[in-house]
Amino acid sequence: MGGRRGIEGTAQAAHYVLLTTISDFAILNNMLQLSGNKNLHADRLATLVDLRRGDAAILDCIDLPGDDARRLMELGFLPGTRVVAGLSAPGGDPRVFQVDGSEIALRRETARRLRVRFIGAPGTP
Amino acid sequence: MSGCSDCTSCQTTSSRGISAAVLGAAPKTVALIGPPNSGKTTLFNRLTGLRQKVANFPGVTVEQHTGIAELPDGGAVEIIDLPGVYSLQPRSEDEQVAYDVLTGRRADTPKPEAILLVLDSTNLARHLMLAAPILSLGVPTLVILNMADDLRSRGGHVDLEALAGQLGAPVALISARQGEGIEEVVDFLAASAPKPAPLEQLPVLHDVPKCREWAGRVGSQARYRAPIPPVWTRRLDALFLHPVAGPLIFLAVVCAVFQTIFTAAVPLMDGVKWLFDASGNWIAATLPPSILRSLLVEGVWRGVGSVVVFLPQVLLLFLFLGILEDSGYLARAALIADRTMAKVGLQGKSFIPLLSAYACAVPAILATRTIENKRDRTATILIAPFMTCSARLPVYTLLIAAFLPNRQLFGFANARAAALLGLYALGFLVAVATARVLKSSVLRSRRTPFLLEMPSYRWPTVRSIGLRLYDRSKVFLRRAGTVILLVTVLLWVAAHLPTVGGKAPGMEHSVAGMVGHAIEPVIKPLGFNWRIGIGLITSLAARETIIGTLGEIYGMDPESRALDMQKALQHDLSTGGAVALMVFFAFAMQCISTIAVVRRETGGWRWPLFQFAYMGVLAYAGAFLAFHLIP
Repeated sequence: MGGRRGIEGTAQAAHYVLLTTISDFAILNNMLQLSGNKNLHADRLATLVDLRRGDAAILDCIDLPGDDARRLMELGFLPGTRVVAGLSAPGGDPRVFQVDGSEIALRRETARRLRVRFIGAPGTP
Repeated sequence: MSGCSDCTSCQTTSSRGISAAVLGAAPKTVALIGPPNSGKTTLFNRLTGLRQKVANFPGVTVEQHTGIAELPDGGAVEIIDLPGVYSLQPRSEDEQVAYDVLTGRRADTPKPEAILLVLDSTNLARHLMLAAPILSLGVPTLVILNMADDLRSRGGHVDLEALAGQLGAPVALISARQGEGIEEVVDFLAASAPKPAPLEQLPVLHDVPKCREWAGRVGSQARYRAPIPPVWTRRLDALFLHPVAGPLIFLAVVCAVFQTIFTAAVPLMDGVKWLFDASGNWIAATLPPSILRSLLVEGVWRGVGSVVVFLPQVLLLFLFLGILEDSGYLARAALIADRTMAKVGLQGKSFIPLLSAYACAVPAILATRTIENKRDRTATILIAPFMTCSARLPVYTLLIAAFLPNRQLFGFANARAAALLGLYALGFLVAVATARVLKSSVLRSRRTPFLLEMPSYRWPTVRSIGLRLYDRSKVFLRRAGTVILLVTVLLWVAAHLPTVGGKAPGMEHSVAGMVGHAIEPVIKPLGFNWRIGIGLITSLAARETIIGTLGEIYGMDPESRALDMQKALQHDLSTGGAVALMVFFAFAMQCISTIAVVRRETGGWRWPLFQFAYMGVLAYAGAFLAFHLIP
């Protein structure tokens, strides 16, 4: 499938090496194009907790022990994937995230461990 | 479906049927596997109908559903419905069982000769990840893309031939809910399917990103176009997960369920009661007076009948639970409930087993296996029997009807319905307090990530709900026909011994009466007399048995024979005593089946014994308080 490139890791030793594929970059580029001039936050490192309803982001890494991270990846939370924050339970916790064609609810304490590249949402300033 | 497509399917079926018969190679055992929410169970129901049985895989806590699918050529195939899994990496017990069955490592289950892999066609790219480990097993496999109706209506598309070429295995696009394309699955079962061609580029199976990359590539080469997001699901979620309306709807749903169970079931129950009374009288009039007639009419008929009366109520509850689950609302309820559950150290996933425990603790305890964290799971098992199960419902119904006025409270809620709701709340609150204590002491654990997939909303089908109700009534009637029948017959014997001059001694001086009198000092502080005491003893087998027992006791006593059960009860209990009895039933662990299933699921006697003792002490203390606080 061609070469792989590591994105720079987080300061913390993430349990999963951050690998993205060329096709993942294609998604990222696509997103950047879609968001046009609004991608001011593209470089900001954040976590899923920082996303408000409707915000989109690219998942960077999962800072959780092996089995927990694996389970999340099987549900679609793979590094390089686009995640959109959706509705939530009253009080904002847990929140539903749209990822890889599914809607998965995560608690705040879990969402905090998923680092993302925040790219904002269509329609937000 | 047009008649034309039926016709062609007929032809293919018959031609394949002949070739299978000639080769004599129709598979005997076929495994059904797929990710959760792929519609696997709907297909299983579609293929096997009423020819199913549920058991546990020996040695583990995973339920084993097997069923027989009949083929057009008259043959039959056994289908094993494996647990829903996202991968075949054996980590959880479910995945271990799926892996062991598919690879023939379980001595108790034959290695499947073919596999039906069910994937959700509306989320194909991700679900295809499971195809890699399944196809690499080298077993003949049919890849089933389910929910074809959704895929079409939402503008998705997939090239089946290209996909089959990519996977090296036959592919069928079906809708198990609508019954569309089922004949293709039956054809596969009837034919001797080829082994899948080895995958050209097998991904490294334990590397999730590589598996996903492989699945995406296969999908795009099969020109898979993902459907647009389900509009109605988004709209409904905007309502059901609304910060204000969401929780209100949640509460309204729960209240509506209880109100309906209490009011709508009454005419149905009266009908069943009338049937039993009428047939009992007929038997009494037909048979000559004898000891046998007494056993049959006063023992068996009255005892079993008084329990079967509650079948409509139990079925209504399962009807509601089935609709909530099949429509997809239950996952939203779990989401809304998660924060509350987290406060007592549990999680939203405990909510579904606990909600099922309102029907019966046994399936609820089996349902806890979706909770991956062992300590969360044990805590959920320990508190599940506090939820007001359907066996308590008849006891509550009877006592409330006998002791509480049938009038409106605050103009809208029926006083009796309110009392029932109160008893449900009582069980729930004690469960919550217990969970809190357990989770902050012996079962303290690291919080596990809470992952809950939100399925799209769907109309529940009559077929699927009907199958569930059929199954439940079978279980309920079997219990009435075995445990409860046995207890009522034993009680009848105990109530007729020792004979005095060839005649029954009268309740008070019988073996049963003596046992009742022996325990009376212990239960007197709770407001119960010896007759209630006999009921308490028999209800250790199953809660609802107390009704049959009391029915039998009152039926034998000349003083109370003429009275109906409610009047007879009013002679035996004060209002305080009746409330104490309900509180006792709310807390006590009076169910042999639950004790047995807890022992099996926790792997020993430690937890069930703890649970029995803890709930017993609580029941005694609660009933004591209730009797002394209420005049």
